Amino acid sequence: MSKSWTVGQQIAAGFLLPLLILIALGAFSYRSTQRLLATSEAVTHAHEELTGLSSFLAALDETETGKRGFVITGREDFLQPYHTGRKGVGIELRQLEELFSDDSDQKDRVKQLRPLVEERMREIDETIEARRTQGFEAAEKIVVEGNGPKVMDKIRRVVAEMKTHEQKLLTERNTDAKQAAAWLSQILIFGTLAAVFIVAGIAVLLTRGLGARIGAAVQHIRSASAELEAAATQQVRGSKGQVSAATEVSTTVRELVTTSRQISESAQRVTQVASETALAARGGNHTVEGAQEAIETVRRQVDQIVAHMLDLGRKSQEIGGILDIVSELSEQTNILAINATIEAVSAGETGRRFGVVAGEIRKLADRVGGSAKEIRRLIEEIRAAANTTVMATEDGAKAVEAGTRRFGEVAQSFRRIVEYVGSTAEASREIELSTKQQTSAMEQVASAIADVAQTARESEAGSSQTLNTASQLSGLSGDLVRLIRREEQAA
Amino acid sequence: MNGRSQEWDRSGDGAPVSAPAIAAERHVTDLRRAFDASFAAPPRDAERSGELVLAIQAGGQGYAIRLSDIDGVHECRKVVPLPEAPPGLLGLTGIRGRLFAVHALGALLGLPTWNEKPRWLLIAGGDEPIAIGVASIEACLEVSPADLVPVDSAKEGEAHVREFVTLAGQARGVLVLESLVARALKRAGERREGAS
Repeated sequence: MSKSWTVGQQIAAGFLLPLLILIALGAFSYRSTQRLLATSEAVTHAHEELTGLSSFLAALDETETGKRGFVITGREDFLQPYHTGRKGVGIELRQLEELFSDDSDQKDRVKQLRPLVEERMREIDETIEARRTQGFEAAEKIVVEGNGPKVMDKIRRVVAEMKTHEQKLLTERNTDAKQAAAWLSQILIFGTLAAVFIVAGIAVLLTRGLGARIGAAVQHIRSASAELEAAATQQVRGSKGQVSAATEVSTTVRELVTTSRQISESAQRVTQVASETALAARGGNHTVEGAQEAIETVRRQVDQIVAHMLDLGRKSQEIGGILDIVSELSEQTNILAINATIEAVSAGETGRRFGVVAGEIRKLADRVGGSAKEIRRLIEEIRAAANTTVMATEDGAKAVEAGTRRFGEVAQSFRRIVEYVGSTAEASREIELSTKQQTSAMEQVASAIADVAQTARESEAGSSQTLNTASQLSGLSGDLVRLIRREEQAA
Repeated sequence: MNGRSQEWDRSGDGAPVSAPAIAAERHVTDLRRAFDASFAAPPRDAERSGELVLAIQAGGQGYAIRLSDIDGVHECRKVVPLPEAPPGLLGLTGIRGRLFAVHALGALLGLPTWNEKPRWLLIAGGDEPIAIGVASIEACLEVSPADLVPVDSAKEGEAHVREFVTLAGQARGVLVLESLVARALKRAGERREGAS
C-alpha cells in the first residue's frame, strides 16, 4: 500500500477487497439459491401435477365405483361416490388445466382428456339412468355393449403419458437441484476460504503498515510532547521573567512619565526662548537689509568713482593731445625765432634789436616747450595715477561687488536663519505639545504595562498548566509507544 | 593771474594737499612768474658779446652749429629721392618756392649711422645753398667766445670741427658748415660728372 495513503484510506482499501469478495460470494450464493429454489419449486410443481393426475384418476374411479354399486344394487345411496367423483373430476380437470398451463404438450394432453372424460361421464350417466328407469338388464346391456372401457383405457393411457412426462421432468429438475446445491456448497466453501485468507493478509498488511506509521507518528508525538514540555518549561521561566520585566518596565515608565513632565516644562521654556530669538532674528534681518542697502549705495558710488576716473583718464589723454599741439607750436615758434635771429643777424646792425626780440621769443618758446614737457610728465603721472586709481577702484568695485554678493548671501543666510528660527520656534511648540501628549500617552502606557504585568502573571499560571498538560501528553505518548511496540512484537 | 593762483591754491574742501601737488603748484607758479617777468624786464643790451649756437643731433651724436653759419631752419616735410644719388644725398625738397638738395649731416660727417629720417633742414651755402638734414634741434643757446675752445683737426672725420663748446655739461664739436657744404657740392659734382 502506498505510504501516501491516509490511515482511513488504507483501512478502507483493506476492507474493500473482502467486501467485494463477500459481495461476489453473496451474489453467487443468491443466484445459486434462487436457482435451487426455482428447481425446488419446479419439483414441487411436478409433484403437484402427479398428485393432480392421481386425484383425477381416483375421482374418475370413484364415479365408476358409484355407478357399479347403483347398477348392482339399484339403491340410490350407492350413488354417493358417483356424485363425489363426478364433482371431483370436474375440479381436478380444471386444476390440471391450470397446472399444465405452462407446458404446451401437457396442455394438449389435458385438452385430449376433456372430451374423453365427458364421453365417459355421459356413458355412466346413461347407465345410471337406464338402471333407474329400465332396470338392471338395460343397464347391463349398456355396460356390456358400451365403449366405456375403451374410453377409460384412452384416459388411462393419456394420464400415463402425462405421468411419464412429469416423471422425466421431475428427474431432470432433481438433477438440476442437486447440481445447484453442489455449486452453492462449493462457492460457499471456497469463497469463504478465499475471503478468510485475503482478509487475513490484508489485516497483516494493515497491522504492519499502520503500526509502523502510527508508531512513527507516536514517536513524533512523544518527541514533540517532550519538546512541548521543554518549551512549556521555558515558557514558564520566560513568563516569570516577563512578570519581573513587566514590573521593571512599569517602574521605568513611571520614571519616564516624571521625566516627560520635566521635558515638557523644558520644551515650554525652549519655546519661549525660541520666540524671543525669532523676534531678535527679525530685528537682525532688518539691520542686515539696511546694511545691504548701504553697501549697494557704496557700490553705486564706487561705480561712479570708476566712471569719473575713466573720464579723468580720457580728459588727461585729451590734454595730452592738446599739449602735443602746444609742444609743436612752441617748437615751431622756437624754429621761427631761430630763423628770425638768423634773419636779424643777416640784417646786420639794423636787425640787432629785432634779433633781441627774436631771442626773447625763442627763450619763451623754449620755456613753453620745457613747461609742455613738464606738463606732459605731470599728465603722464596723472594718467598713471588715474590708471592706478581706476585699477584700484575696479579692484575695490570688485571687492565691493564680492562683498555685496557675500552680504547678499549673508542676508539670504540671515533670512534662512530667521525662517529656521521661526521653524525652530514652531517645532519647539510642536515638541511641547507632543511632549504633553507623550506624557499623557506614557501615563496610559504605565496603566497598560500594569495590565501587562497582570497578564504576565496569568500567563505564568497558564504556562504552568501547559507544562502539566505537556507532561501528561509526554506520558500518554510513552504509553502509546509501549502499546504500539507490544503490538508489533505480538504481530 | 593772482586770482587764478588763489583759486589754484585752494585745495577742494580743505583736505590736506599732497607733496607732488605742492611741487606742481610751485612749478606752475615759477613758470608764470618767469613768463610775466619776461614782459616786465627792460630790453637787454643790444651789444651782446655772445655767440648763438644750435645744439643738434646727427648720426646719434651731438654737435653744435653757429647760428651765423646757416641761412635758415625749416621743418623737413617731403623729400623727393633722386635716382642714382650718392650716399648722403637724400633728394630734393621745396621750401618757399625754391628747390634744395637735401644732404644727411651724418653722411657728410662720415658717421656710420647717418641713415635716419631728418626732422629739420638747415639751409646753408650762400649763393648755392643746400639743405642739411639733422635728426633734432635740441636747443638754441648763447655762448661766450671764451667757451669756444679751438682744436686741432688732425683726426680724420673731425676735419669739419674747429672748436668745442660745452653745453649742459657735454662737450660738443662746433661744425664748420662751409667745408660740409663744399663736400656736399663736391659729392653732387662727382655724381654729375659720373652721370655725364
